[in-house]
Amino acid sequence: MEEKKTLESPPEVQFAGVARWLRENLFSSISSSILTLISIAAISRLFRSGIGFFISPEREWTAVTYNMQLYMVQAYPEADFIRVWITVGLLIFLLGISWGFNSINEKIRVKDWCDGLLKSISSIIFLISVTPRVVEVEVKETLVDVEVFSNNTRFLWIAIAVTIIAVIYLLRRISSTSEIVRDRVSFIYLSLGVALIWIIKVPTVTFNSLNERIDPDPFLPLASTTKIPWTILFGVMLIAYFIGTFLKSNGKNSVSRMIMSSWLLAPLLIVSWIYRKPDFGISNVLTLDLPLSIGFSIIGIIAIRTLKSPKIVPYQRIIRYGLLFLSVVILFTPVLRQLKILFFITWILISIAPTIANSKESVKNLSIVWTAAVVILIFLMRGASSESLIVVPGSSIYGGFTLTWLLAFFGIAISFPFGVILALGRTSKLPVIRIICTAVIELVRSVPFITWLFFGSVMLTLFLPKGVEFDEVLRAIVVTAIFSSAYLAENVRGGLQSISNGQFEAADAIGLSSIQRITLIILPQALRAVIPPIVSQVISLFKDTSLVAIVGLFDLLYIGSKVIPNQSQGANFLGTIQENILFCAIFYWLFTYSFARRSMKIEKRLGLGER
Amino acid sequence: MSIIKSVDVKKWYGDFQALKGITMDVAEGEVLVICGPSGSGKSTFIRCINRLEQHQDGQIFVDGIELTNDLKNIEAIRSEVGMVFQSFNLFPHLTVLQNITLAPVWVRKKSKTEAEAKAMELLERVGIPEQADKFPGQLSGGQQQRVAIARALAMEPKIMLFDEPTSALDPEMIKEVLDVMKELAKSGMTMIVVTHEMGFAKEVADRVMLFDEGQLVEENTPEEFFNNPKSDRTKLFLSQIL
Repeated sequence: MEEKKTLESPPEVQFAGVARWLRENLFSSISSSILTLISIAAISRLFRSGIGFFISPEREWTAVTYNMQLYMVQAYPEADFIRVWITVGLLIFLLGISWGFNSINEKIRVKDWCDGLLKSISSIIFLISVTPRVVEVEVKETLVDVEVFSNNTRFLWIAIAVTIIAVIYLLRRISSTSEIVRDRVSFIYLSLGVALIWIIKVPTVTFNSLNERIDPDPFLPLASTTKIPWTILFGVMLIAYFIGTFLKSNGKNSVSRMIMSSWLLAPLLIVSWIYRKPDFGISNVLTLDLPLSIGFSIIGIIAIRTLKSPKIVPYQRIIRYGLLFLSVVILFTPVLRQLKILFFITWILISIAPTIANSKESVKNLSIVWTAAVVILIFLMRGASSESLIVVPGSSIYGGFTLTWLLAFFGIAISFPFGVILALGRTSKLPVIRIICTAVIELVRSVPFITWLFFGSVMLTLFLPKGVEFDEVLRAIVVTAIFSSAYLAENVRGGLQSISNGQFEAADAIGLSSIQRITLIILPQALRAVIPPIVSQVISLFKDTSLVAIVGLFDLLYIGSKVIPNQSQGANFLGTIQENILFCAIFYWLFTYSFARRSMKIEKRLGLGER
Repeated sequence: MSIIKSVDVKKWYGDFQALKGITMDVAEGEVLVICGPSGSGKSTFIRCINRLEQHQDGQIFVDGIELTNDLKNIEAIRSEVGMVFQSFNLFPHLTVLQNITLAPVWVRKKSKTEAEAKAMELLERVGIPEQADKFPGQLSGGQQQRVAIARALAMEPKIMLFDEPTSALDPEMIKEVLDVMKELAKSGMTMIVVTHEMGFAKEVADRVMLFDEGQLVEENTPEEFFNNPKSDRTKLFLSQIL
């Protein structure tokens, strides 16, 4: 009897203050009560039909679960899946390390955590209670009611939810003053998610020995083929997190720089080596890459050491311009692509070395950075320029979410510096630069994205020298990046205009050069001011990547809207367009929403210093 | 030996002539107060001295270097001339300490620790060492202006320019800023101060100038300026302001 009472009574006890809250916020007057009731009715109805759509027996969700592989990597051969997992693992490892390293050990009160949980479970109870018992299904051209959610199940679910609420409420009562580290809470959720992969069973498409689909579908764990990798990756993340916190507690300043550069390098490494299995050829490495890296490392180190010597100083200018001229000439002569880039970065080194390397310590550091940069660059370019040993049907080994991710990541990473440069150029006092930047922005903005995609896919080759050909995906990335940088430039320009003239004057008055003024004073403030529009631009870029389907690339949405609904081989999923489109929508939403949440937090953290 | 010298400096904004031929000089260690009604060109003139504004005719020499469009000269002069603005113009995204150490580190190429030690010394001097790690937005107007003075001093300038440093402040904050400026004047800094604070002018100025409609109307010692002005314009100005 006592037991039952706790089961029944919690809602009243735990919502003790809620009656008053309800009266004050929802039923404060007659008109507000009417509005509240109408809204509740409308919301319930909406959810009811929405959930009904979801759980209707007519829905074939196996179309989504069966094709998850197609969604993620499209036609990537199964034998090389280990590469995909290593890719994901590398990213998760980096993520874990940065998370641990940047963790500020923020604590939340157990009470607040419980309040949040209570809210979410209450909304789950709401969802359970509005779930329809029967759904109309068309059988032989007549509508028949089919029971999908019996009242017994409903009560069972509600009873479970209420029990959980009771437990949480007790926890809230007992440890009302104690605190918990927020990261631990996140790990609790993550481990719950991993546990669910093992526990939850869903109908899964399976075939018997005669290659016929078993009907009805047997119930198997949610991610039956991927549950082991995911569990391992969870472990990887946990370990990486602790490595991150360990590095942080040891207080190494250079670590943060290393993490930053790994984030820049990892995607390049993934694209050029892990994901595509390059056929690099040992002879190429020995005859070309090794001599090149040794040669350029030595040239760079000699330059770093001698440029400051009094004998060379008068010729610095000549050397710099000479090398610039040489690298431009090499850029347009048909030699190895490696050489073109190496000459160019040597020029950059020679331009910056005299100002950076002004002490023994910094000469040493710059030499190490230079050697590492040369070796890594040559390594990556070998991977990128070799043939891939992975053979896939169609023109590209990138498809599905991999393609979406690739376009979004590189689109953003490339467009960000370009956008900032375009914005600065447009506000420049030098007329030639201003006119060029304005022209580029206006030209790119005033033509639709799809048109640019066609341009990149069909016409770009006409403008390039003979023999130079880009991969279809690379062309799409370039077009996306250029298009996005024009918009980004305008956002950044808005930020630049919000900086008062006094800031420019103050920077001038303390003697900063114009480059220092821009990088130390103006840009940091301008970029902070435009975080919201930049975030929405990143989100829209992520979604706009679905337009590349128009030039024949198989992105996530194209697979969901065209490929799977036309599948009849293996399992028959003809016409399952609703399920797949809905899945794509949820998938996009998950990514963009978590990104938006993240950036809101960053904005809060950065906003601290502002008035 | 004059450290600042201007010869017949003229400046136009479009058709409006803001400076109609200013000839003056300032000796090393001198404190010069410039006053005058709004729109008289006094701010424009001191902004010409570190080339935040460009004069179109005449010559200005600072520490023997003529101000021209040559960027090298401008940067050299700007690091010798500190400036304090009416609206403080601190950098809101940097802490007080970062505001002060920015230029010594990036322009003078000092090490960070050295610059920070110097910055703390300066904050001590302007009386707010405890605010070092705050952001400008968290300080009162008077404190912000004192940080601005410390920021200008961090470059160890030979000359300090003050462009109405107390005009944007509440009455009780004016005093704390003026005290810092007085202390600075006594330490022998060359200062040009555009201000309406006649008390300050009486107490510390070596010379007072009156600008009106882009012209230098009167130039005098403080005693003579306030007690026995030469021109009628000065009498009118003093009768309105005192």
